[in-house]
Amino acid sequence: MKSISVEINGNFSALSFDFKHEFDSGITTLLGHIGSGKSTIVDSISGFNRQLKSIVNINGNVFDSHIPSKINLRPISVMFQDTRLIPHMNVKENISFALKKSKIKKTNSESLDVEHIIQSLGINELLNKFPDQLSGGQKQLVNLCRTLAIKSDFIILDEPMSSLDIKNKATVLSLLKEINKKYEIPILIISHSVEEIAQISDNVIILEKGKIVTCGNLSQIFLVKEFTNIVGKFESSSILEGVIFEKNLSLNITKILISGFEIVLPGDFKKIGEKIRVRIRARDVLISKNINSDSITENQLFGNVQKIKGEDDTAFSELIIKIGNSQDFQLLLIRITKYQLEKLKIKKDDKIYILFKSTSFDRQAII
Amino acid sequence: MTVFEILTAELPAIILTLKLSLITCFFLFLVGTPLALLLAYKKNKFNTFLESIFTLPLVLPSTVIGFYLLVFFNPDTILGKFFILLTGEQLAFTFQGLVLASIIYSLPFWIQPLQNSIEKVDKRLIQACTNMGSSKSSIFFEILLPMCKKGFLTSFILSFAHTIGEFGIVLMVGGNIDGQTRVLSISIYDNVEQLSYQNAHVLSLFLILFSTFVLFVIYFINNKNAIGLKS
Repeated sequence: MKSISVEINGNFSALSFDFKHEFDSGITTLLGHIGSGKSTIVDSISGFNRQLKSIVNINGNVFDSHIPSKINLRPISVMFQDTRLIPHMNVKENISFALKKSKIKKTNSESLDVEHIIQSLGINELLNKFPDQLSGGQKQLVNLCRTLAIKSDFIILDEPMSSLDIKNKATVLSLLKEINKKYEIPILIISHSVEEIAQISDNVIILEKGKIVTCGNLSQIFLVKEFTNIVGKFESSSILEGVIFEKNLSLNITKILISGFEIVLPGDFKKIGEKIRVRIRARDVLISKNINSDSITENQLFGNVQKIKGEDDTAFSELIIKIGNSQDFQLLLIRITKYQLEKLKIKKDDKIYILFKSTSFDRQAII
Repeated sequence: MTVFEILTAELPAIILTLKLSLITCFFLFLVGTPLALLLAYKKNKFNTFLESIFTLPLVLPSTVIGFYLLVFFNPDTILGKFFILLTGEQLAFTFQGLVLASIIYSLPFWIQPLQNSIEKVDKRLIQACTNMGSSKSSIFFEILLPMCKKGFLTSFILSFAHTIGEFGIVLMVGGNIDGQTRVLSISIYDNVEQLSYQNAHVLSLFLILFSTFVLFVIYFINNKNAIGLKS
């Protein structure tokens, strides 16, 4: 059983830190505004910050900042933000340096298959090149590969995809998921992008001025206001989970059931019977009080209003809708104008229909 | 006397000068490199004070350092006694004393270029390598040494050239003992004193040509390296 717990306290660069978290074996995202102390947390866990008091427990190996120990032996591999590659070594040597040096770390985890990582990231053609011959995105891929080559029980990635294009991001996301599942090594990612968070995280921690303001699993966290505050109202959305039950390859669609409701996804995803998550943007949704038999949209959900929140200085209100029965329900966040809310006379506990077009699922919204 | 005869006659001084410079650089590598690392990585008030002390030879007249070195080399002092205990000889007016003096007055020429070069190495890269599992010695030999090649070379050129060129301290600490402390700069001074201008001419010209040659070769390698890295 993998168990990693981190406790960080103290004051550093005008922030007062109070961070206590137990990581499960999944992928956790650390989210916070610029200057909220995310990178300091990374430095602290990896042992480079000596001002803060920290206790890191990795599968029973305890690293206490007050007890001097060799930082290079910690079974953690970190991809620091904007770290440079070793300039006098080519890509292959950079990767094998990490492989060779990390042999002294004592870990419980199996070493990763580096050949497979090189192939997956598509950097096999860069192996003989030197860092100054690579583009920013290529450097980041090599850096990621180098980090994953380090023998470790805990992987920390500080903005690992900031210079990558959409195609490479998708590759990296699926590789990280695969590694996390196959080797059961917990991963902590620092990221700002809602797409990245939605696609990869099992859990999200929100950090503000060195303190955890809230944390929880992905679908819970998408509904809290701290999350919306950081990613912006424009991106506010919710994650719903469903099961694939039908595919129509001639029309190129995948049908899924979300809490008993049929939803049509454009494209061919996964296999029948598998679970799938979709992200629905709060602003992409229409609501109605009556059933719409001659629907202009493919997708209809039905639920009751749990909460209505008017925004003080905008024209909008946010509604949280409970979908499904009381045992197996999911929460959906929607954003409509206060004008519509009044026109439809929507109150708490009202039953309403939720409509949205399948085109509102872009590829990155299907996980 | 022909040029060749003069150079042959002065051969002991030429060899002694080169020997002194090379031995000095060897000890500077051992002593100056850890100091440069310390000053580059540990910034605090005490180290800033140390930095000023190590830079003193750059600003003080060589006579001041020479005078104090003579005082400390005195067999009555701890350093003097220790050295006599170790070798049976006193430090002043010996080759060993000259080496020690050269190390002290060339120290800033070794530390400063190297320190600048070490400070330019991205600290995040050092952190990343430590995280990979590199020990401190691995980081020094496998990361810093190759990355600071230019810094080491510059430190070497400057210390080597400065040791060859120093006159004041050498005269005060070493005197003018043939084969022991009579280096080229002393020899030229001696020849001028004795009005043998021809010898002084040959030696001075030799020193100019030699120094130009050494500097050119090293700067050439240095620039080639810099170009090589970019392409």
